[in-house]
Amino acid sequence: MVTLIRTNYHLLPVINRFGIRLGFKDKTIEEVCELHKISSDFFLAIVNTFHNEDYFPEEELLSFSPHLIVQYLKRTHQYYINYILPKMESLLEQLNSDCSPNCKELKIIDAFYKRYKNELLNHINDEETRVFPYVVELINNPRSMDPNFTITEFEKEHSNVEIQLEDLKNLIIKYIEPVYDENICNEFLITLFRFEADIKDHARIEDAILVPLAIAIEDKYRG
Amino acid sequence: MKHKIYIVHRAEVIRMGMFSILKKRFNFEIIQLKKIVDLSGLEVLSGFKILFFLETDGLKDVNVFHKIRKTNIVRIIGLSSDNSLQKIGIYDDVCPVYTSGSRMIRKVADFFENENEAVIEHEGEELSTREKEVLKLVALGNSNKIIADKLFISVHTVISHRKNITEKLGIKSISGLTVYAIINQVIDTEKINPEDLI
Repeated sequence: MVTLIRTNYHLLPVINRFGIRLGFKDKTIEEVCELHKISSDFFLAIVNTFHNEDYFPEEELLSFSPHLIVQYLKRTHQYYINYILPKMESLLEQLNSDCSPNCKELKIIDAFYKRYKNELLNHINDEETRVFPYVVELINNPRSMDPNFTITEFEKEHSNVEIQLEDLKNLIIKYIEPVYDENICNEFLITLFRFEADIKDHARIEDAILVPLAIAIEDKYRG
Repeated sequence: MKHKIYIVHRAEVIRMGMFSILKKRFNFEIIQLKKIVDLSGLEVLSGFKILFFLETDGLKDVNVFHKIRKTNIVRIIGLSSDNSLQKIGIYDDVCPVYTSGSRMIRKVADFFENENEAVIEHEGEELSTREKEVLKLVALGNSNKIIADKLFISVHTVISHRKNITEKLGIKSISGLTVYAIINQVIDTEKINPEDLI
C-alpha cells in the first residue's frame, strides 16, 4: 500500500473514496482492503484505471457489482462537491481580491466559472437522482424498467461539462491579462488540470462500464 | 473531435504489439478487444473519429459497424494473415499483420492527422472581420438561423465560420466564446452587463 501511494500520490483522494486513510504501516493492499471490507479486485481495477490511462479492464470492471461502481462514483461526486469546487472557488476569490485596479477580466472568468459549476452540479444531480437510481433499479428489477428512459440519453451530456472546463483553462492560459498574483493563479490552474484528469477518469468509468452494463440489461429485457 | 482506435484480434501478442507501437506515436485512446462481440454497446458512440483494426477471420456481425458509421467518422482496416485479401465488404483498407510498424503508423496517421494538421495550422491565427461579426452574434446569444438572417448568409456558412472561430481560438463552448468576446472587446460591454451574457 505504501508503494502504491509513493508511486502515484494522485491516488490519495482515490483511496479515500474507499474509506481508506493513511497510517497503514506496512500492510499490503490485500490486507488493507480486507480491513475495510473492500473487494481488493475492485480496488485494484479502479486504482489501475486511474493510474494508467491505457489500462482499462473492461471485462473485469463489467464483472463487478454495479452497486460498487455506483457507490464509488457517488463518493467521487462528494469529493468534487465538498473539496474540489470549494478549493477552486477560494482560489478564484483570492485571485480576484489580489488583482490590481482592473479586475474586469477576472470577474468575467468568475462568472464563467459559476456557470460551469452550475452545469456540473446539475449534471451530478441528474446522475444521482435519475441515472444511478435507474441503473440500480434496472439491476434489481429488470422486468419493471422505466420505458420512458434509456441510459443512452445521458451519454451525450458529458461532453459539454468537459468542454467548458477545457475552455476555462485555455481562457486563463491564453487570453487573460496577468494582473493577478501568479502563484495563486498557478495553484488554480494546477487544481484545474488535476480536476480535469480526475473527472475524465470518472467519466470513463461511467461511459465504458456503467452505460454498457445498463444497455446490456435494457437490450436483454426489452427484446 | 475525439479519436479512438480499436484493435480487435484474437491473438494477444498481436494486440499488445500493435498497441505498444501505436501508443508511442499517438496520444489517444487505444482499446484492445478479443472478439467482435466485445464491440456491442458501441452503437451509442457519436461524434468520434474511430479507426478499427479488425482481424479478417471470424467476422460475423457487421451490423454494429453500420450503426457506428452513422454517427461517427469511421475507417475499418482489415488485419489479414496473408496478402490475398482485397478491399471488400466492410473494409476500407487492408493491412497484413506482418507489415512494418512504420507502415502501420502511417496508415493511422493518414486517417487522423489530416484534420489535426488543419487545427494546428489554424490555431493562433487572427479572426477575420466576418468571423468577428459571427462571434459577436454568437456571444449575444443568437441562434445560427438568426445569425444567418442578420448577415445575409446561409446557416451552413455560419456553421463553417463557427468551426473556424473555435479552431483559431481553441475555445469550444458558447459561454467560453462569450468570455473571449468580452475581454477582447468584440462586443460592446458599455450597454450590457457582461456577466449577464455568460
